[in-house]
Amino acid sequence: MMRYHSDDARSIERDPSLRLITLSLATGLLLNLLPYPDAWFEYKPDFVALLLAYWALRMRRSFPFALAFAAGVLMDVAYTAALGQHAFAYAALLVVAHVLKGPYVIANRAQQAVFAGLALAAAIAASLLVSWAYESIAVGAADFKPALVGMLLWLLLPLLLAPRSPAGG
Amino acid sequence: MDFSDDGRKKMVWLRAAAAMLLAWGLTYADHRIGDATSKVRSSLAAVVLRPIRFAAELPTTAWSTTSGYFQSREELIESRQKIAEELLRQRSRQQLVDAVERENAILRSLINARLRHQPDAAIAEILNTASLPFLSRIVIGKGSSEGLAVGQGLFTDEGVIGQLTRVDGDTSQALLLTDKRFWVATRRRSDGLLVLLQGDGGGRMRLRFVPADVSLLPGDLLETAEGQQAFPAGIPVAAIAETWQPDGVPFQEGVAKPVASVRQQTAVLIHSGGGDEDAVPLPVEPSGAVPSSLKVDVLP
Repeated sequence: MMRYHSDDARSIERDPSLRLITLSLATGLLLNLLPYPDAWFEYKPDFVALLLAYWALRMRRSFPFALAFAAGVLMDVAYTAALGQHAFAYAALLVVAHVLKGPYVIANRAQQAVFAGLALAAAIAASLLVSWAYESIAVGAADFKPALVGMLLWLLLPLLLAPRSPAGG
Repeated sequence: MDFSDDGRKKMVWLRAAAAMLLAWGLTYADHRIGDATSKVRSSLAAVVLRPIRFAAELPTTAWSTTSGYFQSREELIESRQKIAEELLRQRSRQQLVDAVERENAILRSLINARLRHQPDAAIAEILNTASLPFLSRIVIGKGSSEGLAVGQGLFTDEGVIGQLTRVDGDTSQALLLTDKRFWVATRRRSDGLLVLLQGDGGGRMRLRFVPADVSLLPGDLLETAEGQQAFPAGIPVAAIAETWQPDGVPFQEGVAKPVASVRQQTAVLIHSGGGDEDAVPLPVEPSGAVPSSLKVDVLP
């Protein structure tokens, strides 16, 4: 990863509007609610989380936590999960994304995929933590399959990405 | 890294911590006091999630509707085919029932005719006919094994049909009354006037040797005369169709239409008498002479 200076990025592109982000998250929610075959649920990534990772990577500023929190609550309602479970997971995702982004630029697609996979894994881990804490649900490595699928999706759908070119050395 | 970035990062961490704490608190509250959060859930589900869920279910709804349409169409086609096949079977059965009813009616009429004319007359099934369109022979399903003999007359409830000309073991062949070789002595039903009839080979019968001074009118019904071996007396044979008087001939000419039709029959009655070779109708003589087998004085 290359050294990155935030002032340079400011001159390259602007952050997307809140409306666009909200619309994209609604689309992610819609994608999550589509009637997939039962066999897919084990592998289906959380599209809202994937979009959060995307915006977290793309945005110069940090992603608005309130919006992620609201999306998480809606996911909880839609999935009839414990209220706040997805909100907690998305907050964890943004934290990990923030840590990973740090002062480095994530330039190529493979790095972005790793970034997305780690962010999704963080969200899954946080969600499992809530389940484990309140419902004592056993956690296993298989629960992280959607993160791997999310990584693959990231690689296969380059059109969704807008790679940030390094502004300087 | 300047202070403003550092401050911004601190703010991010603060927000992250706040969001995570709030979320955890929310999960705790939802777990402990689920009733309080259920209203939030229902409100969010009704207001925010409903349109999204509706949009998400559109593909399923559209698919089920479309597949339901095609499924119903296929079911309808299959049902229609089944109904058509069932209809075909029903029609076939109906035709069978109709045929049985017709045969039953014919048999009833034959039984009535037998009771009326000759109680000991046998009933035989018509197997096939020959020489269409003007039938001249039929084959019946009884023969010498049933006691039949050449010369026995055939009749139905309507009237005379013909006469046996060949008898085999289980089948017999009969000459119809419209064949030129068929002769029969009749009498007019109204007054007993004797009239000799011969088949004309074309579906009707000719008047033979009827004196010119005898008055025969169209519609006069002719029935079998007494004294014949082949038929009992009183069975309708034909009705006068027309008569005319040729010049210079002592006999008048005329044609009569047989009253019985073999086309509608599936069975016939067989006269119990007349079973001897002498009664066999002979080929018509070139001179038009009456066959010797006709043992009745047909002329007044």
